[in-house]
Amino acid sequence: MKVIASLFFILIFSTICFSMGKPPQEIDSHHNSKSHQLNSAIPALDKAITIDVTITGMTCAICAHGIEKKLKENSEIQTIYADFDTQLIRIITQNKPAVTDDFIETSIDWAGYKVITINRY
Amino acid sequence: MRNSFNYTLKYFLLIITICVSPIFSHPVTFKGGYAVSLQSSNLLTEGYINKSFSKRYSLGLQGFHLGESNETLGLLHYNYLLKRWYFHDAQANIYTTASLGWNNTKKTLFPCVHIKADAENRRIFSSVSATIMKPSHDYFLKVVTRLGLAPYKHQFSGVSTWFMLEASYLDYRSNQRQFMPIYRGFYKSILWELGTNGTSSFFHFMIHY
Repeated sequence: MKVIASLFFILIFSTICFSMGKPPQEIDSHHNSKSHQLNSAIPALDKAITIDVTITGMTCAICAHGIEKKLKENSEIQTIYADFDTQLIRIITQNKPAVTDDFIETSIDWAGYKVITINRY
Repeated sequence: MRNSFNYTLKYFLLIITICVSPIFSHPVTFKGGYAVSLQSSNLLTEGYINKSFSKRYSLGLQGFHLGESNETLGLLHYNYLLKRWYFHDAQANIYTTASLGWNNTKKTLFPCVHIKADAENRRIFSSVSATIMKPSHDYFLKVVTRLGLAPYKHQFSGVSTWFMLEASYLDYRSNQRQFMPIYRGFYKSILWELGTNGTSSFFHFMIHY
């Protein structure tokens, strides 16, 4: 009886956790510099630069947390968003020269992952 | 003599459990990253802290108390990421660990070597690990495997849920087998696990920062 109750509790708890997670955000991979649309989870900022970094092997929040932590060592980075479905890391900054490709590649390498592409908008 | 043998065997079983227990999902995280883990079970209470000095290796320090024998032990771990394979939405890893332990109650040193391989995506997790040591004239081998399934694909901002089954095999003068279902959850950098098989149970909590 206790086992059944425990299983029931775990299933209910999992359902609640599932409902807490946000659905995958659509990320426009066909960027148009004249009609750039930001992800709804990231606030629109005047003169903000978006840098989309495609990586591979990112499977868990701990992985993404490590990447986020290394990238945020650069104080010019305002927001980072990770999307597991597209293996994309989106960086928002207002100081484009301060966030170089070398910094991004080194930070993600230190986090244990590989950069596939970097696109700036 | 039989009681002495049983005590010795039980002592080494606990040692091996301790050697295996700190080897959590990512012994090496990211350069400069810390991990803190707490675990409690019928047999022991353990605390573990680990720092990754690069993407390849980390050092860990573990302390725990054995309830039944009332002993306090400490272990120094060297964890090394031997190889990582990258796939879209999946990864596979091989880790090795070399440890040196100190029994503060008996004032003795003991070595421990461990290897672990895992492969996972956002729906399926699998791992196998082996611990080898030579506490006496005989070699000691313990193999642990885990298979986990996620009921849904988690996202970056949500809670991840896993249901796992762990099977362990021990070979040291006699063979022992154990199965344990485990619930694992994590949110961002916090992980928790609950397991029970009716006769034994454990709780594990870990945070990365």
